Amino acid sequence: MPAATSAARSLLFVAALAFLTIVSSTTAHAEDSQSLSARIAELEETLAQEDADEDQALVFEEMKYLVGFFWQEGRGLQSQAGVPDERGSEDAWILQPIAYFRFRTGKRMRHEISVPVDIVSAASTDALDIVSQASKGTQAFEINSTSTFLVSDAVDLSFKLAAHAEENFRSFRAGTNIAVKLFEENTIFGLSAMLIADGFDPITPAGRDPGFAGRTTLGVDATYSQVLSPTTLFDLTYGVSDQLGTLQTPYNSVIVRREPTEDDPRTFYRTAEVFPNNRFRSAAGARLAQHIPQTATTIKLSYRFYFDQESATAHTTELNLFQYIVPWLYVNPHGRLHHQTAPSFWVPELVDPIDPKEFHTSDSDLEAFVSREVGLRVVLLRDRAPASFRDSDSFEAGYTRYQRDNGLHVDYASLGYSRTF
Amino acid sequence: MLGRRSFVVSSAGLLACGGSPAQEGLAPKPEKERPVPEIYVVGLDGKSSSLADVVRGKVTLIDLWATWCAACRDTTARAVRLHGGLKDRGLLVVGVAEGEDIPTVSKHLETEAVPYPIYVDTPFALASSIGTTELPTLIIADRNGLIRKVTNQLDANIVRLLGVLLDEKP
Repeated sequence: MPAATSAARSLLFVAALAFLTIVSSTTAHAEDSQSLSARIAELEETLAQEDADEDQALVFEEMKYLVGFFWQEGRGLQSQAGVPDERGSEDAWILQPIAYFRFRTGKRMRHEISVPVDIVSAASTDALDIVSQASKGTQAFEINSTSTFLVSDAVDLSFKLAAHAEENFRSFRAGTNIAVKLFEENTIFGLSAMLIADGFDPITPAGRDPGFAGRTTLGVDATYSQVLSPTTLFDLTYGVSDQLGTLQTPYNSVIVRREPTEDDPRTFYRTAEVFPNNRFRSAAGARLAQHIPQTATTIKLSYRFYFDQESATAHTTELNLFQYIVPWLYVNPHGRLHHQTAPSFWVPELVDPIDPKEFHTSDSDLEAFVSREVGLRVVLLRDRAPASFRDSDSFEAGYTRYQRDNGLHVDYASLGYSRTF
Repeated sequence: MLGRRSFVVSSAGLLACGGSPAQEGLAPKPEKERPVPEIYVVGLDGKSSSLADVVRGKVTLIDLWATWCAACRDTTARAVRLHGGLKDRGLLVVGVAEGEDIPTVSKHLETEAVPYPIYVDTPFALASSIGTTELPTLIIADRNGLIRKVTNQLDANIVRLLGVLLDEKP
């Protein structure tokens, strides 16, 4: 009995100890939970308040300033500058400062505004200067704005507005874009529409003022963007545009050969180009971007095919290379090869008599040609620079050479500065 | 706090961070819980560690960031505050610098030190394995090493989730 009593007491003691341990542990856990809850609640409240403040805020995120200088030399049949029955001068220079701002009003509304200003030496080389001084020099001002509403994590809705003014030309653009992000944002479908209304007072090469003219362009673009891997991105685009109205460039002309007569010894004269008042154009493109982490290199290769109802086609291939020298400095060489055929109504010259209603142009921009472009940009990102040099801004300098086999070439140099806030 | 979707989207062509409107959005979320990937990350002392081993047995917040990523700074600042407030409750905060090397990260931390462990993932192995293409990205894992959330917003909801995970009995 005493042994049994002793065993029972021992069992009772162990049970009591276990009970106390459990109670103590449970109480400690409850206290821990309470303490944890209090800390979590405090942190939650702090972050929620910060986010709420941010949601109300007007925040400037980035500003950029870029100055570009174009120097163009060339000869085009549409220009009557120089020897009037040969290719005329297309020489011009353009100084183009651009200011760009990005800001947000709350977390879901973002805005981008860019303001390019063109100071052009000769917008219409040797055109008649009855209402326009554009052959001597002109200035163009433009403002573009894009506001994007982040409807949800999967849908962005953008609205674009732009206005352009120069001499006797005004242009307004309004558009919208919807982007739908699927499959964890690895797939994006985009659809955009843009309406452009241009108004201008054309003067023909012969000096006639046919009165106010206008044209309207409606463009619709669809894009498909697919992340193939964390370092590979593939894009497809297809777009159509329909232009209605006065599509010719008023000061462009076409040489007309004629047999001289006793009354009129001229062997040629120039007439205004005539375009159809409706052009339907299409373009399809693909782009592959591949980043190579081991060498800090990104390659972007794109191809675009253009075709329109006037049988003009164009193939454009572009290669962009981004090579980091150090984490805060990269170079961006690029090359572009473009081949186009002329529309069915492109002619080098006409023979008198002509049908004034027949479509014809000698514009060198629409001529069949091959163009090549090579360029190099150097970009310094100070936000990735060593600590002693670091700041929230970046600098870039670039030079591009564009050369066509129909006699035109353009040199483009640019300097840029941007700052993030 | 803003994200971007692809490493190759940015004009510079590297891992993107910060927000252009069209590309902003949350990082991919796992369809279902999955373990922290068995990938190796390198500490600033040069030693390789299995990330799964690093986080084993702890509620973990993994911050994927880069020295050049401006948007990552806000997230890292918040991660530091969570570390300060919850480390003694069992929260482990780990930073993983994506696509970077040790000298660059070490230099960066001389001026912007963080109190929790930092690792380097030069080949983007972690980002690739969880399928994210944005910085910053945050991975929240429970004590069993299972990923409970992938996001790029370190907000009150994440704090609440961490509270639930820390309150779960081991």
